[in-house]
Amino acid sequence: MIFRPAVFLLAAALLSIGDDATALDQASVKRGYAEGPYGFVHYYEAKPETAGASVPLILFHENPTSGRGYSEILSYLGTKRRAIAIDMPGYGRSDPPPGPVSYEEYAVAIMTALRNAGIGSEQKIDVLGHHGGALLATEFAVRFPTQVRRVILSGIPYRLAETKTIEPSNRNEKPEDSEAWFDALWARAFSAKPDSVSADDIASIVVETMLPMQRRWYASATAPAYDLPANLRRIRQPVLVLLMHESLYENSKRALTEMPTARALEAPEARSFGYIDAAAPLAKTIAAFLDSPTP
Amino acid sequence: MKWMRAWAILAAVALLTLALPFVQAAADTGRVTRAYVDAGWGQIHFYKSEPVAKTDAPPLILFHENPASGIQYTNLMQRLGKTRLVIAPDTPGYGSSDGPKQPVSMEEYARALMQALRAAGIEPGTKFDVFGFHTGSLLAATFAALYPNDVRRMIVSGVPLRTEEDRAQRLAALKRAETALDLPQWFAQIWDRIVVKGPGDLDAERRVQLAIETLKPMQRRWMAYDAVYRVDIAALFARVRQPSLVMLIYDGLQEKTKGVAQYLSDGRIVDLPKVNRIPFDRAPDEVSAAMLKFLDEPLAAR
Repeated sequence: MIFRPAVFLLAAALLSIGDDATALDQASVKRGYAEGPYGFVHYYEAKPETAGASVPLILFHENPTSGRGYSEILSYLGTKRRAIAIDMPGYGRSDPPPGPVSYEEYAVAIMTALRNAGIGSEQKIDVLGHHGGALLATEFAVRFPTQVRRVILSGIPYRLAETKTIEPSNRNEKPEDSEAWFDALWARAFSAKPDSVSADDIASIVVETMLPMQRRWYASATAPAYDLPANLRRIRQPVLVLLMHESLYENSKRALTEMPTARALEAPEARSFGYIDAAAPLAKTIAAFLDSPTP
Repeated sequence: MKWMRAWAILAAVALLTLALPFVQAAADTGRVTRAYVDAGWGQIHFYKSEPVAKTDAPPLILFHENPASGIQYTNLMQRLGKTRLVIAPDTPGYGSSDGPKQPVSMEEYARALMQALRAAGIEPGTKFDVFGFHTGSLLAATFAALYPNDVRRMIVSGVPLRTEEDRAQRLAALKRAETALDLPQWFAQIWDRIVVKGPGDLDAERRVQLAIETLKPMQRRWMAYDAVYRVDIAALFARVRQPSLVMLIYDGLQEKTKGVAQYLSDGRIVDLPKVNRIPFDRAPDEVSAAMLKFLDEPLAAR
């Protein structure tokens, strides 16, 4: 359980082996539904043809997108382990809660759905979360300490309010506001598009982000109430922090102060759409961490 | 989505009180679920509604218009699912179904959908009924012609009966070179049609949902039209031997639809003059009543 109390900054050593990584096998990614307390939870899943001994990995997306953004990396991770990227309730193709709910409630709802997707209470799992998904991964680790084995966090929105003006979430948003949302989202997504990410991938993210309609603010409205610093301190499992070179790089680095035993890896190749255009090298790094022997 | 939210609340309350019998009773009132099966070009997604009690009524399959998805039938299914198993698949490439990379024929779509129905539990030997609207009407007729021993009765509405010349022109004009970058222009058009100029008696949330649903096929939303314009509708309908109902819905295609009745060997017409645009959300009672009347009545042999 105890990692060396130092922060590893292995700049790009593992992550830059891009060419080699293209030779990696890829599993097919399928979609499915599992029942949860708010209705169906939709998920993307890849797994090896024969069930191996590897612990399943659950991936949590940033808001207000969906698990679809993990399709590429699932295909790599799924060659050795069951890898499931869920759509948070109310996002992607998952049914919404009746109103905004806390991250604690989201975690409980998702765990119920995972049980119905065949993840038994005795089954160990690993969790990965990016941005808002990092809150869910943290909550999973703290709430289900015996079931969650290892934790991977990236883009940690640590003390976000101190570094960035958080747009007030629009609680009065109406369905008809979706058109303005589409235009703004489209412009923002394409202005941030690196050459390495296809227009199809960006458009697909925009479409996914349209699906929550006027409920897209639910998760972002409840995120500030989640005591991330305290919960990061409560994590007892081995943690890997991927320092991706994107908007929450500095926040993620600062979050490490709460987790002195966490391992941190610089991931300069992984920028804003890192899980898409750096999927292969990230999958290698993630698998190496998950498969490493318990120290 | 209002009904879905209502359902979520209802289900949560029921679970909290551990009133299991209540949950089952509630499930009988037409809950619509969703699932995927392996079929066609990957997975096919479908909506499903069924009664809890065993029923002798043949299952009913609903084929949607393009570029929508099975989601357009969810309100209708709450009614139809009380007495029979109802399945509304997303046509491959639309909604949440995987699609072909190149255009395929209507028959190939039908074969993929039959594969999906088998995977969804419709066993060989089970007779079922089909309903189709617009593009879906051609799928329904293709099913009836292709699977004469499986399809019992057929209902079609909004049949795009066109001259050969018209079809050839439309086929030539089809925008095949669309890319993802054309999506904003498409969204503006569909938004104007469904949300801005859509019928005011349909709540805004549903109109927006239907508009957003048409974004899912992205730049390949033209693909099923390639199959549509290649169908010789008169010849196809002449191959249909099953008892059939031609439903006139006044959304602009009613005259063309009326024209196909002459090609059917066992066709009849039902006129719904008060039913027009977005009929399955705005007039689900009228539409389901007309469907059930035809599906459940004993028919004299012709």
